Amino acid sequence: MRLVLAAAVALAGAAVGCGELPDLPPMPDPVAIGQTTAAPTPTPGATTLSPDGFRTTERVAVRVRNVGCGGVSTGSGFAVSEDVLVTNRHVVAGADTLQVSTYDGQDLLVETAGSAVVADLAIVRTRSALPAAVTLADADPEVGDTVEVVGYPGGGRLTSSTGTVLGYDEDPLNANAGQIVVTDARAEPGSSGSPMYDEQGRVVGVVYAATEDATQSLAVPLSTLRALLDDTSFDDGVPPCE
Amino acid sequence: MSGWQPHDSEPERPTPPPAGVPTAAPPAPGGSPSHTGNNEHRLPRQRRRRWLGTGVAVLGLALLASAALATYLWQTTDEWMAESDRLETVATELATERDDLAGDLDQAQRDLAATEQQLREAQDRITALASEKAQTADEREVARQVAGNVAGVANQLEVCVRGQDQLITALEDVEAYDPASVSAFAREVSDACTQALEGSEEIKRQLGIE
Repeated sequence: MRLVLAAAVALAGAAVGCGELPDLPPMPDPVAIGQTTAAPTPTPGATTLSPDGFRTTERVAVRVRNVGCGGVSTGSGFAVSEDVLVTNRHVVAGADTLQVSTYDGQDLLVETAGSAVVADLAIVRTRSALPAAVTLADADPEVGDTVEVVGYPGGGRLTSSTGTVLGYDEDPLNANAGQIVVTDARAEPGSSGSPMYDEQGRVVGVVYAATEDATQSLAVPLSTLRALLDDTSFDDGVPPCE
Repeated sequence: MSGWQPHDSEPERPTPPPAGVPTAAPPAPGGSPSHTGNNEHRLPRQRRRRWLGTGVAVLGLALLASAALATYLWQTTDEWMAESDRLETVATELATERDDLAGDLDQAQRDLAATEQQLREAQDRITALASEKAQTADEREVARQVAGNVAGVANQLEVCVRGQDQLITALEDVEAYDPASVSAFAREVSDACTQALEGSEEIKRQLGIE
C-alpha cells in the first residue's frame, strides 16, 4: 500500500517538474551549402599557369634566330633566370646577330652569348627580362621516365611532344664529351635547344639533335647543363660557323 | 497499523479463573449481549473506512498525476509541433536555396567551360600570331641579307662592266699597252665578272628563282 502511494506521489511530482523539451539535434548551417573549398595551391612546374593561361613550361621556351653565316637559321632555348637563357652551341654558332622572341611574340634584346667547349650548350644573356624561368630537376632522367619537349620545331609554332627515355649512349655527333640521353620524343630541326622536362615540369635535359625520321631525339643531360651553369668562365662569345 | 490483526486470528477469550478464587455466576441465557460481542462488529467497519479513505486518497493522487501528465504531454506536443513547423520552414528555405545554388552552379560551370574554350582559342591565336610574327621576321632578315647580297653583286657587276669597257678600250689600241699588263687586267675583270655571276646565282637561289 505504501509503495502504491509513493509511486503515485512520485509520478505527480515528476509530471509537474519536467515541463521542458529535450534538446533537438543541431540544424545544419545554411552558409555551409554555399561555402567553397579553398583553391589548391599550384605546384611549381608543368601545371603552373600564368595569368594568360599558358604553362610555365611554355612561357620559358624562347625562339632563337641566328642571322649570320650567310643566312638565317632558328632554334629553341629556355630561360634559367630573369636574364639568362640556355640553348645549343650550334644554334648560336657564327651569329652576326642573335634575336630572341617569347611564346607570345615579344622580342628580347640580347646582351652577350657564350658557349661550352665540351658540350653542345650555350648561354645567352638578355637585356630584356625573360617571362619566367625553369626549375631544374635534382638528377638526370632514368630509363623509362616520361619526358616532354617544348620548343619551336622547324621555326614554327610553339609545340610540345612527349616521350620516354630510351637510354644513354655516346654522342653520335661527337658534340658532347659525356653520354647523352636518347628519347622517343619527336624533335625536328629548330627543336635544338628545347628544354626536356620531367613529369613535374622540371628540366632534365636539353635537346640538341634528332634522328632523320624525327622519331627519336638526343639531349644533353641535366648534369652536363649544371656543370655549364656552374662554370662562370665560359663567356667567350659565339663559336664560329659550323 | 501495527495494531491490525490478520483476518484469520482468533478472538480473545476470557481466561478461566484460578483455582480457589470465587467467580461470578455466568450470565443467564437470554441476557443482554456482552461488551466483547460489540467490538467484533465495530472493527471491520473501521477497517473498511480506512481502506475507503486510503483508496480515495490514492485515486485523488492518481487523478492529479494523470492531469499533470496530460498537461505535460499537451505542452510537449505543442512545442514539438511548433518546432516541426519551424524545421519544415527552414527545410523548405534550404531546399529552395539548394535549388538556386544548383542552378547557379550549372550556369557557372557552363560559363567556365565557355571561358576555357575562349581561353584555349585565345592562346592558340596568340601562339599562331607569335609564329607568324617570328616567321615574318625571318623573311625580313632573309630579305635584308638578300638585299645586302644584291648590293654586293651590283657593285661586282659595276666593276665587271667598267673593267670590260676599259679592256675593250685597251684592246682597240693594244700596241700602246704592255701585253702582260693587259692579260693581268683581263683576268681581274674576268674574276670580277665571275664573282658577280656567282653572286647573282646565289641571289636567285635565295629568292627561289631557278
